[in-house]
Amino acid sequence: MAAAEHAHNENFLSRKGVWEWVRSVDHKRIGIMYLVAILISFVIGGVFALLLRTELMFPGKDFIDANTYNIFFTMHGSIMIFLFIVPGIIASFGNIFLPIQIGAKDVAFPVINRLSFQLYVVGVIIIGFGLLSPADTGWTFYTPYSAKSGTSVISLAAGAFVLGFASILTGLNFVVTVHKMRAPGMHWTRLPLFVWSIYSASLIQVIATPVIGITLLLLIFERIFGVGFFNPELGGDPVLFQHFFWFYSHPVVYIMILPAMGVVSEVLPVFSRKPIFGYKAIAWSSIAIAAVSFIVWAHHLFTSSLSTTVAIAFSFLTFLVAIPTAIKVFNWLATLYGGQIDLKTPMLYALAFVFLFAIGGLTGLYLGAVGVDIPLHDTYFVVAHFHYTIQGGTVISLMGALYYWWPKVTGRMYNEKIGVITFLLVFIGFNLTFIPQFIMGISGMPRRYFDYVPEFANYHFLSTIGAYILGIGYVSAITNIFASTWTGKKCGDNPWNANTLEWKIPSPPPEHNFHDIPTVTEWPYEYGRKAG
Amino acid sequence: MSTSTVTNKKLHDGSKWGNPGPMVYDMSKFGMWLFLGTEILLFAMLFTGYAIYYMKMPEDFHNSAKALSTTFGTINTIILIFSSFTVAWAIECIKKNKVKMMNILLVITILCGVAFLVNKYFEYAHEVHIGNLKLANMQWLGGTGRAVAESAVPSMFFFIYFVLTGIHGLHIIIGLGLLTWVLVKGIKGHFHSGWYTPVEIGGLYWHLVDLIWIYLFPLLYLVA
Repeated sequence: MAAAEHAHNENFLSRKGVWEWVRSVDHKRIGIMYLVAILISFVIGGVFALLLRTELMFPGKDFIDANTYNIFFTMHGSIMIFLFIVPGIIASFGNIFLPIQIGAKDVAFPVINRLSFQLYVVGVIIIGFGLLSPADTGWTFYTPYSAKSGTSVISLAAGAFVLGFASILTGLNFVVTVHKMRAPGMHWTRLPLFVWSIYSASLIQVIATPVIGITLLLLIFERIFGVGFFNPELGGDPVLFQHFFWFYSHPVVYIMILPAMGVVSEVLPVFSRKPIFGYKAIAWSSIAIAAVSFIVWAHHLFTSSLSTTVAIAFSFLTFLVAIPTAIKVFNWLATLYGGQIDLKTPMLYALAFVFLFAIGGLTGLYLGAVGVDIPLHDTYFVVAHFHYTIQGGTVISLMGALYYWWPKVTGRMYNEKIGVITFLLVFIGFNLTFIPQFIMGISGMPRRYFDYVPEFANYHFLSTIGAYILGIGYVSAITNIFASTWTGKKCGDNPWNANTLEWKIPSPPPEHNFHDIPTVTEWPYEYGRKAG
Repeated sequence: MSTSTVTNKKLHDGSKWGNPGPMVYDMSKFGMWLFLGTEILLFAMLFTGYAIYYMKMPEDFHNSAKALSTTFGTINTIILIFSSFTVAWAIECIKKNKVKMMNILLVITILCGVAFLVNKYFEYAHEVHIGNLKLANMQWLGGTGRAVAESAVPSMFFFIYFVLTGIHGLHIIIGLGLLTWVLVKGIKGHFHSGWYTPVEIGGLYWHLVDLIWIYLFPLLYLVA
């Protein structure tokens, strides 16, 4: 690839001051603001998780009562889902690196990109107002309870509605950017796999998010005007809410996981010095996942009055998701095979992703099978499955992305030893937290319960210990990477010897990314065959 | 691919963004179509709700729809179809550099939109008067959400009627804002045959608003 090698003294971080950040339409700055915002949300959501785990450490009431417990798990879920993981990798690293990876100077609509972040902030503020009387409905807002609860469901729903707009605008921007702003020679078959995955996830954002928007709006109308759309007392159907809700909220888990898969597809070939195996299969499986994601939603409703025929149909459709997912996993393993594997921190996270996500994905098949789901529904098995996919998948991958790309953003290298130690803390803590939850779930421990029978005491105790290790792991890992911004050694433009376009420009990247738009002549995965 | 890379270069050689040109036109239109897609999906869910409740309670839909005034509905349909025509004509005008004619047509379109809203206001007032709002169980709960049935038989049709037309009315207001912004720029002379992207974007949005009404009209007024 011929890339611009012009030395610039000016980079995108040169101009200092808060105002420079607020007014900036630079995709890199917006991405970093998103990154910081979602990580703060992650820490707050994590604190709620630890409070919940602390309460559950021993049977009976320890330090919060049952109602507070309901509020805390609602806060944990809403913050983690709406503020952290939905914007997640797309809005942070997608923003920072998608335009660079396709050889563009910015996204298609930079001002709309800034508007997206502004809406995100507005959404956070609206949800923040709700904390005066925090909602206790769970993040799923199931009616009829959410229409009756005396807590501030409206501000949570309205906040999520506004965040949905932010999400749509980001997705729309990326779809147009990928279609229209690729550098000369950047054919679809030369797109980095990270771009493919962000593109697929953006399509889901654009298609699915309006549905949750209207659903939450109807819920708000229900609470303000007494419209009985979902209210059985007025002839409405509460199960319809569940259909509407999951029609968005199932695809949205692929908004979360697809970019994570994209990060892994970038990291694995770089650290095994081999071309990615099955490029087209991985790229198309992203699109396939996006497509299938829209026809599986009712597997969340196996216990809410689905007819047997419909349930079986959705069960089989759900199994379909396993096919493109497994294609990815096999291709990743084939990429590793025979490679010169370099166990740097980003690679450790990528490998952990493959391992943990495989567990999460396979347990998803248990839950997708209608017969097995009936006893497992609403147990800790579901909680553990979800956390294996979304935390073991997306969050682990986000940590990998941080370790992989932050040296590019700042031009400074993190402390590798601390990186590896904190990774081990995260990995051990994670499994210690959630393996006991799988066991409890199979034994029948229901989710969202404040108290439990003594048989589960040991598992809950272990799970809480694991959660604390996990918390320490995440905080120290994030601290390590951000500390490198000021204390790290300069690491040059391409410390990993990687081939995608972002590594061909200086670190930190210049304000306009490329002095001259590069002309792309080959795909970015020619590792090992010739000098990277 | 080849043409888009050329325009891509053009864009990058100019200022970083906001450079009026074929690339911006291309991207903006593509972006707007995607956005219109999201709008259609938003209404699609309401239509889905309509279909489901229609199947569950067809009598309610047939009987309640009789209480709607077809006259009001027809007038509004004609107004909106006419405004779609004028906004399309406005775009054709600016393509031929007829700025003044475009401005006149935009004014007519905006007046049509206002007329629609005024008409809708009288229709709503009439409906409050004859008690349709009560049938929809609409009441001010102030967010407490403790809905009680106000009438003996609350009508799902009227829930849907007020929600659909209300959200559609909101879109009319947004569309009017957009067209007014375009008109102000048009009067200031920002547009010519080489740069009329905002006119077309505004026009596209207005067409969508009309299109949705064209579906709403038979579903709500003619279902009786």
